Amino acid sequence: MLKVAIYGKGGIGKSTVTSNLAAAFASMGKKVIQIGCDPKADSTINLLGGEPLRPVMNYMREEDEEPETLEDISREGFGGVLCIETGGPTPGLGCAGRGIIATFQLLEDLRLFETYKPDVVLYDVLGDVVCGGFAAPIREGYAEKVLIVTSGEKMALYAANNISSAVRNFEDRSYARIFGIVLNHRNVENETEKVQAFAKEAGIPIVGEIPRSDEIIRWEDQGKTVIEGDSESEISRRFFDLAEMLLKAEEEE
Amino acid sequence: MRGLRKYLTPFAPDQSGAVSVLFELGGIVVICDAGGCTGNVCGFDEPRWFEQKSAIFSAGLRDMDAILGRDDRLVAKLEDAAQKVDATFAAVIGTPVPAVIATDYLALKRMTERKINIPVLTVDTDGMELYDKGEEKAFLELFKTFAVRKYPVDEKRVGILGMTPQDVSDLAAADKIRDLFRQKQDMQAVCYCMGDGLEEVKKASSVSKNIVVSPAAIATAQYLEKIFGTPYEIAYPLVEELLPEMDYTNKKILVVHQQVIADSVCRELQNRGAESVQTAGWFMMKKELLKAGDIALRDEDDYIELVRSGDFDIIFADECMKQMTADFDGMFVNMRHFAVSGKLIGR
Repeated sequence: MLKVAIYGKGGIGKSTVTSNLAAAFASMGKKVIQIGCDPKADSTINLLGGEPLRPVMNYMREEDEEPETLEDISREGFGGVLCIETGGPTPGLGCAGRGIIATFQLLEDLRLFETYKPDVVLYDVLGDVVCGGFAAPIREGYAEKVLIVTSGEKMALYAANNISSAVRNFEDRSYARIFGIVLNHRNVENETEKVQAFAKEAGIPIVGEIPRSDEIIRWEDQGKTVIEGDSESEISRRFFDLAEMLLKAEEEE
Repeated sequence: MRGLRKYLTPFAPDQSGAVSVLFELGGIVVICDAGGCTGNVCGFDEPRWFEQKSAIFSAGLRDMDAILGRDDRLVAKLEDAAQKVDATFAAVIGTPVPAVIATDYLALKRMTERKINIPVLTVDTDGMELYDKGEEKAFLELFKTFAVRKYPVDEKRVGILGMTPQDVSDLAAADKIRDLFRQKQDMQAVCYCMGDGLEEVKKASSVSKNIVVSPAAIATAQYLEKIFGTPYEIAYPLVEELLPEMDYTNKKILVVHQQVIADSVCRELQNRGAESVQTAGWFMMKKELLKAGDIALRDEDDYIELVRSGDFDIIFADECMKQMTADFDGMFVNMRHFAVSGKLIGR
């Protein structure tokens, strides 16, 4: 089972990368689960035709009880991708990190992996590893590979560096390893060179490059990934390439 | 080994101290926990629980309450309790869970006061400190909330600040102190929080002076001095009954207790001719009482080493500490400290 966590600065395109990867894997015939681990709970919206999914935390809040079946908290989207959102508390209250941990425990109790038997699991995580809860997706038993999404913007690279340091600090805990950087272009001057310089310094390969394109925005406006909208496009090809690279690495391991 | 305990049980945490201050005052006291902290208070840390009625509640926090920060549920529970219990105030006492999720106590107070028609006080204890720190916070919060009106000073009234079972280890202490002041000075002693109720707290400005019997109440005495001009002394009035009649002349003595009692015993022993008195304590050491050479104990090894190297003739400490230095060949005088042993004087 290929299990990947996607991290990066807020607003850098993590959900776009994750859901396009999920759609690519699904188009390749793989059984995929995407778990959004951001309190904003919008990770999977473009796999679901623009219709938001009721997050696990909302279920618990509104029903005042734990869900009894996976169907209560998940929905199949494009290509049969099983979508789950952890959600979180009202901003400014409670503990979102603990919410992620509680959701993972619940998914274990509901025997998600044993029941659904996925080939690929993608975790779309909030911008930074701010506390133990946001590191939960890279703990042993969850993601084994980490993708860091960044542009050439200074703050995105700064966040990428923080994430990479955090993941490296967890090495002795047998947490996930960094697989590589996904460069999501934002039309920054000398963007490729800047990200290449960071990648070289950090010793992390650039494993994917998504050109700046209105195509992504256009399909997302329709509640779709680019893969769903136009699987033959140049952008789609980039996601398929990354998906194949991840699967190949998994097979080799 | 640092932190390892072989003889002493864990000391009561700050939330227990806060509850102890408020226990007798007729309020609804809600410990903001899942249940364990309340269990500790009622099962171990508050000996009055077995003899007196007090409306102590656990907030009954569940995982989702912490995750979602459902303060509104706590407010609803308090509202419900306020309808069922005839209470003069409500108090919310913090524990580790609200500390970790940064519960906004001021907001809780405002939200609750809008719903129930009694004052609400909150104590931001976090379970990481010891009982005396929680007492210190609760004493201050209590007097700041209720001792607001200036009354004429009655020269015949004296306030006793800092009385809790954890500190004075004697449930009869209030009666004894009242008798002592009545007989010796023809004065009325008001024993706040242990013996006398909330009405006396409200009239705190009417006493001619305050006597502080535990370090946790020093800050409150200073507050009352600042606000009402009430002077204060730091001393334990019942010190004489803690010392058995014997010849203390030229004796080297170790005293281990909460800082005020240790200091009072020290002075009394010096008056009785002791050659030297070393004071030490497991709890807060306030600068107002700190003398050169006072020792703050952290680990059992600190105490064992102190006894081994001190060449003492007499040790005054809770009896539960006797086993820590079995080879001590001097005299060990049991001076109960509930906060150390969980045992009361005379029980």
